[in-house]
Amino acid sequence: MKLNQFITGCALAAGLMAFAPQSQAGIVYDKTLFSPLNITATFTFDISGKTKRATGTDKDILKSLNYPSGTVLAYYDGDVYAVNVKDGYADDLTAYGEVYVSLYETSYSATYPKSGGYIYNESGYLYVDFFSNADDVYLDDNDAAFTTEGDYTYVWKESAVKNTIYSVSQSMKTSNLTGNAYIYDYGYTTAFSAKASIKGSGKLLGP
Amino acid sequence: MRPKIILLVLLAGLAGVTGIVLLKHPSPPPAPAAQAVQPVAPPAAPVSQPEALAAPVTPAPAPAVPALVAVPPVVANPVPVVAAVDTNAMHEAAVQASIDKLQELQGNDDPASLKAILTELVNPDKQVRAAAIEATVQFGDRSAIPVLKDLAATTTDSGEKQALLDAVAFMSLPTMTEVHAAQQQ
Repeated sequence: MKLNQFITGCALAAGLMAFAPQSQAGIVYDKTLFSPLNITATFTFDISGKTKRATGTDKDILKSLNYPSGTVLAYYDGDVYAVNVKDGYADDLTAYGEVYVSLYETSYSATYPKSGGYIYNESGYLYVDFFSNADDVYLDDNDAAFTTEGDYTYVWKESAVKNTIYSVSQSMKTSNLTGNAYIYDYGYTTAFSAKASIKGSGKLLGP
Repeated sequence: MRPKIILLVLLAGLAGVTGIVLLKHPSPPPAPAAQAVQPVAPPAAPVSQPEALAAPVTPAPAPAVPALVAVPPVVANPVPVVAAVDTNAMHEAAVQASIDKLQELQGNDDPASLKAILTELVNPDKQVRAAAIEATVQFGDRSAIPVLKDLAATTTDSGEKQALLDAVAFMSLPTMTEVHAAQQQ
């Protein structure tokens, strides 16, 4: 499956999710299911000749973009959003040029449980990038930024249709993402390692 | 009756039942719309197998149809199969709901949310416990570190122990937000 097909698939799935009728789990805003995106990162840098480490999470990303508590970083239809159900918004951070999750599939398979539905597995290579000032050309034109890449596995599960409704869930995991980060305070690019995951579920209207 | 005649009658009955079943189910149901999302899905994949298994078999009008021949073994006792599927589905749904709730809570900053997350660190389900460790890290409150350490000391699961210790190590480091604040002073 090529990237375009995957993105189209996600768009179709997301479109279906938008018509989910009831009792959705996960983050639901404006009749759309968003799958939370977790990022945990470690930066390595030098201060006065000493190597130091510091951490960052998706929460830090949201703080650096001035989003309040209760906002969640989430993945939907190939883009990354800042979703705040309480305050009523879902900002497309990818469209703003601030956060990207780009998946490039290299293999896939599907299985069909006896209970119905199917399970789709995919693996490949991905990029997870952050640019606080939306400059994705030069890291050092941002107050904080990172570009990272590594392997991922992705699973889409879909149940049998029951009473016109069926359940779906998606999850994505990465291992050993590596790359570079830039922090304005230090004025140089540092080594960066991270892991990221996406997990969400919901109920859709059947055919 | 002679064995050949019995066999002939049984075969005739089987043929009759097969014909009736085919007439009542001329083709598999259409694939759900979401299967278009995944092009590897074969078009004739059964999407409502449990219901199909549970459906009663219409008695054959042929005069000599032995029931043992007409009914496949799996249909002879469908209830346990469906019940097991439902139980698994309910359990999976409950686990997913717990994980979704944890992901929602981790975005907050209040003590009640942290308490709710820490409670799930001892959930009977391993997947929920793993999600609770992740949510604790994402929540980012260092007051949770002693709780993680205590659990790491008592758990017998080596993988979970490592995950708890990794979480402690991660949370013990300064965050970039803190480093940034320190640089500003």
